[in-house]
Amino acid sequence: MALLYAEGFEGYSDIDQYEESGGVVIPSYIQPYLSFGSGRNGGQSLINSGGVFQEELTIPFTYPATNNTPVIAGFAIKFNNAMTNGDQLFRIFGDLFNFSGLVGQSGSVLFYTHIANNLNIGSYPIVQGKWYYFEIKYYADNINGIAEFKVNEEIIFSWSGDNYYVSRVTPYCIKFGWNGWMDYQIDDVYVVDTTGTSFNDYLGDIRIDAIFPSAAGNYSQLTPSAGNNYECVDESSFDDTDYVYSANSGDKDSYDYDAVPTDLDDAAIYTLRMMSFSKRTVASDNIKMKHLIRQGGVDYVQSEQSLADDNFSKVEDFVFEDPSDSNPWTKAKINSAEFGVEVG
Amino acid sequence: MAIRNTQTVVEALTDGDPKVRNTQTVVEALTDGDPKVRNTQTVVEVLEATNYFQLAQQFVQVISNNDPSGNEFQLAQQFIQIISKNPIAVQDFTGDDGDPPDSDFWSVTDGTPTIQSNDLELLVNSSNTKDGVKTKKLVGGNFEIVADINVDDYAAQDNWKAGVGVNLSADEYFEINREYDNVNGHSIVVRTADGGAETVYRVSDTTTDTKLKIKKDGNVFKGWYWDGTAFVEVNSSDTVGLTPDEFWTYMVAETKNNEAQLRILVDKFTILSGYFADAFLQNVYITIIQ
Repeated sequence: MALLYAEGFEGYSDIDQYEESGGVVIPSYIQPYLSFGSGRNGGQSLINSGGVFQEELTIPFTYPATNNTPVIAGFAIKFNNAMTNGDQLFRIFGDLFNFSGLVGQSGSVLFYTHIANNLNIGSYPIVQGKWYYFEIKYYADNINGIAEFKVNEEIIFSWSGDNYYVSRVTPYCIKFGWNGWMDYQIDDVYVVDTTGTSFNDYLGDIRIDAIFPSAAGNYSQLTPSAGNNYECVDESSFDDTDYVYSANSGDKDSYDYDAVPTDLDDAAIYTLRMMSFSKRTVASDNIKMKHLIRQGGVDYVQSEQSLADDNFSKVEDFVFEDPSDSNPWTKAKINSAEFGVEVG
Repeated sequence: MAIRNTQTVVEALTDGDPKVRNTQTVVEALTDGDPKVRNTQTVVEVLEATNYFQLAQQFVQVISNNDPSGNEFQLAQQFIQIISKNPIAVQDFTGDDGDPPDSDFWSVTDGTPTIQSNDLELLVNSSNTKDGVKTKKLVGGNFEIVADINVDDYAAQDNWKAGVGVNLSADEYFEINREYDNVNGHSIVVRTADGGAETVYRVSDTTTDTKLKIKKDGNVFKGWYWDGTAFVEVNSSDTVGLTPDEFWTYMVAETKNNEAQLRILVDKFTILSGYFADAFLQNVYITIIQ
């Protein structure tokens, strides 16, 4: 499996919570210029209003350092105002910026790969106020280097050659918006490498939707701080004033969820990602959590995970198949399942 | 003065270090015999310091299994993210009954396909043997196409087929159909040709409500149908290569003759991936010659 990162920016209340979730690195001087706005397909997107010079939003991903392979990243992007010549739009980043896109004259994005100096390898005209889905593929090598770019799934250019500089540099993050004042939104971000048998190539224009608890499920064994259990965890914007809790290993909570958006196609669902913002009250690993899926009256639990003890922090599981039949998820299968948690 | 013998003993306690406290100085003086001989001896003796044990701090560490009974798990928020493919085109055929399908997207190739109850009706009866539509734009890249179809009515004896396909010409195509014929019965069939004779792959199935999917990866095409639970690949051991990168896509319902009615309802047609070949212009430059 080579899915290294995915984010649709749903469920976050503010930039602080987003950063604390481990999803991004945000220097304090640009934080006032970041916010969440309307997403491409509902939900949220991340807005960078571009109010400061040398701003830099870093999305890190865990890269298998022992397995240097091409990395592919995709993201939806929309420009909200005029762009300045030379503004840096993005860069796939290792120890040096290796594959970058800069806004050039006349609103084109100019692409560079790095050898001893930046090498211009292509361009693409962009229009303000319109969503694009950009995908970039990068590999550093002194013979078989790759720098490829797609817009809305069509290859715009595919460069190959020597882009080896200093040493073979392993990419580990995407950085957005350095050295400029751009005002833009990003949404539906993914990163994969080319290992494994799935998620090892372009995913194309993806969308990430979120659904939230809407009613009690089969289990309500945790204690609510107020009201019903599901009402303590159903916020579409993070709020820790209410929560459910338990000190007993094996206690379960499960919830009915909102229906999946009707415009999703059954053949189009890549995976589910279960997200819980949770913590323990004492710094001891004697209490953990497992994500719980209840399908057809049968419980399926994911691997046990440790908890943070300071703030409510993100615990996530990618669930690629319906555990009841090991087949891909469909809308009907998601709608019929309960999702929840078991105290570990 | 025969003998002078003077001894002075000095014992001094130092302020700084109480362990060094005894200093002795001895002076033995001259004899009468030889005034030139003076014997002076000084002895300084430092007595051994007393060794003290000192303790500045003491505590006890209790080493145990870290298992605090009061540790609680707390959950403040939970939600599910669904990561899916964003289709490049979806036709759900909403509209007024009797209208043609979206004319910006489709051209009619055969018969008179119309919207009926927000489905696309492909109807073959006594007046024709074929009803069909084709996209107005070529689809390129690695594309994936899905058509949700329902076989609403079909002839019990007549051979018929209905499905989705991509083509370049009359003998360059890849299509997957729901079919019936008197020899093979009900089945899902892949038909393909790359300029020569047609190759056929068949899976027996009587489903009337299914989805038909074509996926192109490079120059390899594969076909699937939905069996009610999952997509099933038709003859997964074989693939078919069609080398060009851009294709027309189409849907068609057809009978061998017009003796009986075949009615196909298409709920949705989706191009999941790929791109429209003429979607936009790239790198347009204008040079002004003065």
